[in-house]
Amino acid sequence: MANREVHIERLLGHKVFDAKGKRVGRLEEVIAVRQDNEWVVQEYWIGGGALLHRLSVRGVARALLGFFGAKENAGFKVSWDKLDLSHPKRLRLNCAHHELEKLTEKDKTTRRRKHQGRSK
Amino acid sequence: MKKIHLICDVLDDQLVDRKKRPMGKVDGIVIILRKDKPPRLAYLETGLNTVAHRFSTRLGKLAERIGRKWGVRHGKPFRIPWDKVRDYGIDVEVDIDVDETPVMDWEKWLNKKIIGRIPGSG
Amino acid sequence: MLEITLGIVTSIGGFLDVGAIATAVQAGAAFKFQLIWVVALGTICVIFLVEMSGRLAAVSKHTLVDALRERFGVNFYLVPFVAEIIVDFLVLAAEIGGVCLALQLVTGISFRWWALPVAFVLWLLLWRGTFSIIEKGTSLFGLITLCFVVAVFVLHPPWREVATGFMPSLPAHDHANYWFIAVAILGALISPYLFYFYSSGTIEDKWDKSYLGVNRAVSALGMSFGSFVSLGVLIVAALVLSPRGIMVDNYEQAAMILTEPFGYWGFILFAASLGIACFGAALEVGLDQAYVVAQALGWNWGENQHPKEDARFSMTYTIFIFASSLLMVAGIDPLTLTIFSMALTAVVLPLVILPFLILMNDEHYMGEHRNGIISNSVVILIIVLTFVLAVVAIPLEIFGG
Repeated sequence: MANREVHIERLLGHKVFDAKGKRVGRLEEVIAVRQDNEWVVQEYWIGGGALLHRLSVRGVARALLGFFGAKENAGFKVSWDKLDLSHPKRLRLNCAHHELEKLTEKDKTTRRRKHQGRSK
Repeated sequence: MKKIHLICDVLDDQLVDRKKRPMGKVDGIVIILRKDKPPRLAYLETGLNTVAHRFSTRLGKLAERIGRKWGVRHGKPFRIPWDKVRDYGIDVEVDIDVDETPVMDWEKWLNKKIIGRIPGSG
Repeated sequence: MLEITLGIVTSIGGFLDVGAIATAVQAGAAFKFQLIWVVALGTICVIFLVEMSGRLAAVSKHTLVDALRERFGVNFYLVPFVAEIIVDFLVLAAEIGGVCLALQLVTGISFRWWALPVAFVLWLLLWRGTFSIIEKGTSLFGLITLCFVVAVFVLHPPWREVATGFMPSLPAHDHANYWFIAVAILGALISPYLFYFYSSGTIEDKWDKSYLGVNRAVSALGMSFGSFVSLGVLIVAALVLSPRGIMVDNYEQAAMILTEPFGYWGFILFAASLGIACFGAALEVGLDQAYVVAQALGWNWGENQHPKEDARFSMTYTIFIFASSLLMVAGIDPLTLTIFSMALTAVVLPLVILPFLILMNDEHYMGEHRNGIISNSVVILIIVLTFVLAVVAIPLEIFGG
């Protein structure tokens, strides 16, 4: 696994399973941070809630799901060291489902705005 | 700590060079896995080969074969080292000159062989 | 004020195209004033959509295509992208067909012979022209279509009956055809190329947040005034063709509608209106195809640049214009192609509009200028209605003969 290249865009939407083989959700986002003068992957976001965050339709989805009596899947954030990328088509966590941290509203606010001046 | 949402805020965004000229889209992002360290952001990729791979491996390999017929450079996607990224958000701005990359090869070929030969093309 | 006036004039002149003319004539001939409500509904929807696309571009500095690909990723975006290219291709062929038919009406020479020369002139204008010349020039010439509005007043319609047409009603006969024409009218009015083109034009004209008021005025007033021309076609067709029981199968029959108010000159005016309106629309659709491809792939693009500066963009509209003209060279009936492509547009609309709506509600793109509940509700209702009608009416029309 050391020094291997991985294409993030080819992982997008792939199913992620926990250490016991139980399906957790799909990979929907990758978060990077600056550390020691380089940009590194900090965490991955997985599950329905993560997709809704990415598409920014969480409010609408929550309202619709609530209307039909269904529960929203909050989505999880997974630290970089908990996801094994050696088999991109079958991504595997090295922890159990219940050990995962749920995504919060605060996580949404770190996205960049897209409406402040442009190159063209 | 400043965070980048790579899928939302970088992937599929418009790429522009240091003079703000378009150079394609961010079609791919390459990370390098390391032992006992978090994966490092290594490159942005742009090119139809990269896009084709996102649909299927078979399509990606076909795109590479077709690209190679047009010259070695076109069998491979164009990679931009991550440390050349100056800004992101609306566009992803990189500190390179698009004229010095193979990104404009098709444009230049079209100009030379077809468009440039038609009167009034400027 | 000048910008608003120019914008409104542009919208009036640019509103009518082959789809709007063909569907309005058929609606008036077959069902008199009964389908006026559909024109009104389609106009309301297109006002909202055009305003939204201008607002998106002015605030986020992204064209609609740019924003769709960024937001949803290439894997999802491929579907609306391919749908748009196919629909645009067919609509472009139909618009070229409209110009060719106008020339056939006046010269008697078959439309098939006119296809390549018309394609060449279209291409030449895009090659040499700027965005401003194309937008304003063809739309100013397009004001000739106001002759339909004048014709309405010359013919003294029963205004009470016309007003009743604004209320939805069921037909007394031929239900399948009624709903099919309703679908085709909606597909003709709510053409995706209109708002894709408008968002690209907003970037070409370098509009920013300070133009939001102008944008609202241009979309609301421009599209409203433009729809009067469309209604003019429908009312005149209802007054001239319906009493004679003429069901329009070709443009020669349609051309008769202006002969009653204007005599021989009415025939010339119809041909001129058809030709100029379709020519202007063909320029927009041809350019729109190049915009869609270039923006989806991140190429350099812009009608204000010389072809050498954006060779791939120029090559794209060149290929599309000549390829679509071949459908006319092959002899495909322009009227049939028009109605078919309008109906197809109606089916494809949700694919294009729903992602657009999600974008308009995204705070990261729109900031404080996101859609309100009225915009969202109006657009969703009309698009769902259009799609449901399309799914029901098209098979009925095909299998019901």
